[in-house]
Amino acid sequence: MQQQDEREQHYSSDNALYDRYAASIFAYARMHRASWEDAEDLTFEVFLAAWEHNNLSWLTDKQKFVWLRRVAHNKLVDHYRNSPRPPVVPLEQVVETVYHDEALTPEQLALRREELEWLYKAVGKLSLLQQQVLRLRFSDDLRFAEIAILLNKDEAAVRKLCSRTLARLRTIYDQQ
Amino acid sequence: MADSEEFPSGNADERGQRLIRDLRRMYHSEGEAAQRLARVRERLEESSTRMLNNPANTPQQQGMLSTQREGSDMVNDTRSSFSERRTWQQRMGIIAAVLVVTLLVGSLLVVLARARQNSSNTSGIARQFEALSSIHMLDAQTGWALTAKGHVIRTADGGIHWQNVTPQYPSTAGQQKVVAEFFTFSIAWIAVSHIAADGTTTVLVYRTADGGQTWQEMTIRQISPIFQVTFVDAQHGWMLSKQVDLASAETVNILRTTDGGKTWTVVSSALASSTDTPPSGQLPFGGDKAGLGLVDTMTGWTTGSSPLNGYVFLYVTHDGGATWNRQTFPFSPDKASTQIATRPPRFFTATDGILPVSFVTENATSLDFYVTHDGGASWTSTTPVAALAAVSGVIDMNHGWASDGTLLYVSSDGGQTWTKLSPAGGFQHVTRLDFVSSNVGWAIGATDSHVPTLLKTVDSGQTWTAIPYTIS
Repeated sequence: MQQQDEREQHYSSDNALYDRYAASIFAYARMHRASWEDAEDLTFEVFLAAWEHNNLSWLTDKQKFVWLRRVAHNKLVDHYRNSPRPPVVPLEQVVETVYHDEALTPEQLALRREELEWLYKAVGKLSLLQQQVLRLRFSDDLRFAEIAILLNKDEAAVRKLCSRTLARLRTIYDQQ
Repeated sequence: MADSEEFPSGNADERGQRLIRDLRRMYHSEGEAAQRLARVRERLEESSTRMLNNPANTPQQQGMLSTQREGSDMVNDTRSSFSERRTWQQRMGIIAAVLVVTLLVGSLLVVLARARQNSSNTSGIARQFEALSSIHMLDAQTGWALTAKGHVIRTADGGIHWQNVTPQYPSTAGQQKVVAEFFTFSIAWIAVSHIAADGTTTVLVYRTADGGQTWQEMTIRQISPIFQVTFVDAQHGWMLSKQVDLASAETVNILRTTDGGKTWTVVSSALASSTDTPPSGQLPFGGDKAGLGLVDTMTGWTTGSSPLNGYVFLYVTHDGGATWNRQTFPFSPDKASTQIATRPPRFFTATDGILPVSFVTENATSLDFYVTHDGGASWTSTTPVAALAAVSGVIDMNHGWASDGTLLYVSSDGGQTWTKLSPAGGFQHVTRLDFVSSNVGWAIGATDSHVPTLLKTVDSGQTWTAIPYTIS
């Protein structure tokens, strides 16, 4: 009975760990795996490992996250597949969203479309690291501190990289 | 939600805000991530349920079922429709039980028949097909292995029969990590790191000189978990103890013995620091330490890498591990930004050695066997091959094998040229290779349904045969 109580308590702490870090680890998996299925499998393997590890409670929050990221990294090294470019939503789909969200006139929409085409081209020319930072920041909504751990970089360096990348991309809008 | 601080708010930076909105639209995943995470949670919960329903809980569950049945009987007296349903359920239950029993008995008969067929004696088979995690063969017949559960096993017939010679580890709570050095068929060392719930580690080192029939035990406290044990002769050995501190940074202790493992002394450490550049004569805090490679009692190397920052470090000692000095390691510029993993160098003479380095680029992974012919003073790249360092092996300066888990690459000229093979005979999901001659080798793999396999080749990897091994 006591053993079951301990297991259930453990299960509860695993749930908390999952709630806190699953999205970040999934984002990391998406950076390195070409398909959603592979990213899902990797995330499952990482948290299953955490479950089986039996006791991460003595670690601080940051150390837990570092531990999970490290397990994910090791699993990637074990079964490495190609590191994909972060996938983007097709241009036409984004244009349609812009049309609905911003209530544009046909002339304004044509300008916005041109702007978005330039943005797509510019993003495509960014380094893999820059694209990863953009995705983690603006799609996965991660904090710089979390991105820094996932990319094994200094937080200040990630902030600077993100800032420079955005400044570079913003020139596209300034030119319009 | 990430804090939006990239651009100040206000009309002056409206374009910046628009850029961020557009980027969010570009990378939008339409809830796919949330759906996937929900599915992962379901899978984890299923795994958890299975764990909770282990045999230790069976009596309690049986008690609960018994109570429910009594309750149902009371309802049965008053509601005939439920009675009919219950009767039908009982019949189905009986049929299911008969099927399960039939399957179990059938499976048992198959296992027993197979065991009888494969075993030369009638002793019991305790852990048939327990997965192997590493294998270290000494020649075509004799060798050692570690199982995934940390058991130490030994074979004298090429891997068909394995004898479990695991020392009696004390049963403690917490995590347990087992590493080993199998020096001869008689002499071996096992280091077992027990990591308690409060994070403290106790290391037990076992030594045998009679093939695991008896083990001498010694305890080391207040040390990080042992990652590697290595010996250059029966007396002189080293252990690498390390603790992950941050992503890709580790504190390290190097311990040395000069009496065959009876006593161990910490001879060098890498302590946590704010910089990866260590004090003179010490190892760095930053990077993953891959392990030690000693050529004699005084000279050796430790290698490591910072996988995402993309550099490999190589440190040499000439005083048995007390002081370490960094050596320059050559890289071609196109490899500078890749993920890198390395293995310890392996020396075959005082001057000739091989250092496997994996480069994981954006589009591919490759393994390069760097070679030295001047005792490690300089290292030269050979021909990279699409394989992983962890799944590679060399037996001398000429013969090497490497795999990506499915394909096998063979070299007989020190990595200058490689022959690509697609071996038949179940060579798949391979995680370890171990060769003892240019022809004879073993591989640890798995079937598509994750059943562990042990494979053997006698023709340099062209063909492989699964060994239906037993552990007793």
